[in-house]
Amino acid sequence: MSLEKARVETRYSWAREHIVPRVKALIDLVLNISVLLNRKDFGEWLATWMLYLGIVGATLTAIIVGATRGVILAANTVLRPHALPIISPELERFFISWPQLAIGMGFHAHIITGLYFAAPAYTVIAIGAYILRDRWLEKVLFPRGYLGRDLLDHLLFIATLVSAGIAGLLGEYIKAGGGLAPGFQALAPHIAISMLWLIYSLAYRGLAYRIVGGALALLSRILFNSVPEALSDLEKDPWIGIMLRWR
Amino acid sequence: MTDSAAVRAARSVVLAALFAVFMLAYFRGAMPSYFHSLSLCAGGCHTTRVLTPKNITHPFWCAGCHGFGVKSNIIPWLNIPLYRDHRLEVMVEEHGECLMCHPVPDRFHEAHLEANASALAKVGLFRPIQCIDCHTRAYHGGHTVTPGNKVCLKCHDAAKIHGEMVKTLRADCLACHGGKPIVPASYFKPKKSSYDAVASAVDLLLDTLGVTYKPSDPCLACHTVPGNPGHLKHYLKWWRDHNITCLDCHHPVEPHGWLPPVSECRACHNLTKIPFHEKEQHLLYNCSRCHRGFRYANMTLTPAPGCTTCHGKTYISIALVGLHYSHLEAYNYNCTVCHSAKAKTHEKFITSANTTKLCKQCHNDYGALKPEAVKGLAPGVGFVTGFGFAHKEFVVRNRGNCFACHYGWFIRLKPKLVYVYPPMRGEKR
Repeated sequence: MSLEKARVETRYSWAREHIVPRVKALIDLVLNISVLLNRKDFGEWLATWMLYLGIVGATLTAIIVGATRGVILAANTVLRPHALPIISPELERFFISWPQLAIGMGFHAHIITGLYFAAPAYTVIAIGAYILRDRWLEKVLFPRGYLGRDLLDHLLFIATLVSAGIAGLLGEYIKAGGGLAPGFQALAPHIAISMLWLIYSLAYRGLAYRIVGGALALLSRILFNSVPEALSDLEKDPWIGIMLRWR
Repeated sequence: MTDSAAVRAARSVVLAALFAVFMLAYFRGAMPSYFHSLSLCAGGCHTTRVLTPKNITHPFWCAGCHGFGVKSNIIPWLNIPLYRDHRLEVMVEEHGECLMCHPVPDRFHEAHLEANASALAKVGLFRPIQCIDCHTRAYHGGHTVTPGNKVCLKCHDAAKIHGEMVKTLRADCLACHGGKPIVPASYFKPKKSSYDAVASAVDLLLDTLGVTYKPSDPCLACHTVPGNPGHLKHYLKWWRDHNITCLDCHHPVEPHGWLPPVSECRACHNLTKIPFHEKEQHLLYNCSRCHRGFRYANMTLTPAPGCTTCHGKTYISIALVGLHYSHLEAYNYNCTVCHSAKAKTHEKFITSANTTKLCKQCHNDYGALKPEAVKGLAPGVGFVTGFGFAHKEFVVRNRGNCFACHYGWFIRLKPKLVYVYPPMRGEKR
């Protein structure tokens, strides 16, 4: 059988092999549209999409904030709204404004993605799984069953959310006690717990690994039209796998 | 067992609704104020003890200061105030970071911040004014403390600027010059308000400040020193049915700083009854032209410039006439030694000296000066000596009429002293 004949018989298409998966991955990277098409359930899609966006966004913005804070501190000694000109206004705009932009947008985007996307989505998924008896949502939370390492992963994630929520209350106590930087000090537990959760979750392939790994796998699909071997286990995931599986 | 389509649909709706509910709940619970600018940023995550949102009176958006960069460089397509104001940055650099949160509240503050280098140098300041120059306690527990009057004295010498003013009033700079003055200083500036309004404002000022000493006339709260001798001559003098006060001449309805015109003088002074004012020219001129006591301080009313306004050159022309020169010099150009100052008109003033009795007041029959006449003469005046017995003979012969010989008084360019011998018989004069 010649190659041409084989391609005709199998309905082979170059575009179907090289373009369509990339476009699908791109759409999934942003909208998780495969989940909606596959599950045909708006509620499930909305909840999981928001959890996906929330954790990916919060992780990314946390990295941005963490990286730029050093620049801001080095340039201005304190995080302040007005960046002092260093040499000239032009240089100040270039060197100071971008970190200011990054930390400003990063910080607020972290709040939006974490508090408005991830937290309500996780709450809704938990309610859907255990009150509304949605088996798929249950598998979204615990794809491998109720393993101890996954339970700890979820506990750390919940602690991360709670520590962010109590920062406001903690800040007031620290402020009343004469804390030098009450806002920053109040966030210290959140930063510590979230970093612990992130490292643990990535190491033990928990929630962060599945979601961030899924986003990286989709990026890999867009760029290389393949999922890296290290992330191939995600193709079997009942939630992320829907977006990664092809054909 | 799989769920039916209806159950799945219902659950889907419930999940979506729950998400909306929880999103709103987290929003309301944790960050009630994120999207509503200052009042809500400050009421949510960003607490501040400095700003009171309701006190911010100009358009204010957190990002106005807490901007994420420069509008034109970073987010040019967004027409929202995500930029830092260049003028604000310059002002912050010059005057301090207070301006990042506190807008310049009024013209009083603006004037200080905009003071140029030369104006600042006059008060010994060789840099722009900083907010903390006056708000000295802003960083040390007195963030909301309004500066007292003492800070004004750091640069402004009140005694030099308002030396005339009543001290209790002078000590309260902010009563007129502050951001919220009792009466704005501009109210007292010339031609800004009427005399009557200024007087009322001074009363209000004194009452509000609780000043126990109140001058009898509101004008005297600031004008404690008479402006000129004219004021001293008139103030509190009894006229018709009352004592004269400032507002008798400086009409209450006229703007502060308005100077009374000549008509105001004539309302009380009848020129026709005043000596030496019979000439038409006197009616045409402004009184202050001669009576300059109302124009310049420390200048008396009549002698100077007085008559010299018009008759300044008269001394020169008179000096060239006959014996006037030697007499003017001797008597310090005081015409009234011979001419009567009590004369009512110019003509009578001139003719009042037309008598030999005046000569004999100082000269004896020998033509010499009497010892008592020497007193009061200008130093260095050449003494007139008598002509011996010959002069007496002439005096007797002419029956004491000095002018029979000394007729050169009215002839121009005659020498200082004229020796005119009486004509002998048959001799032409």
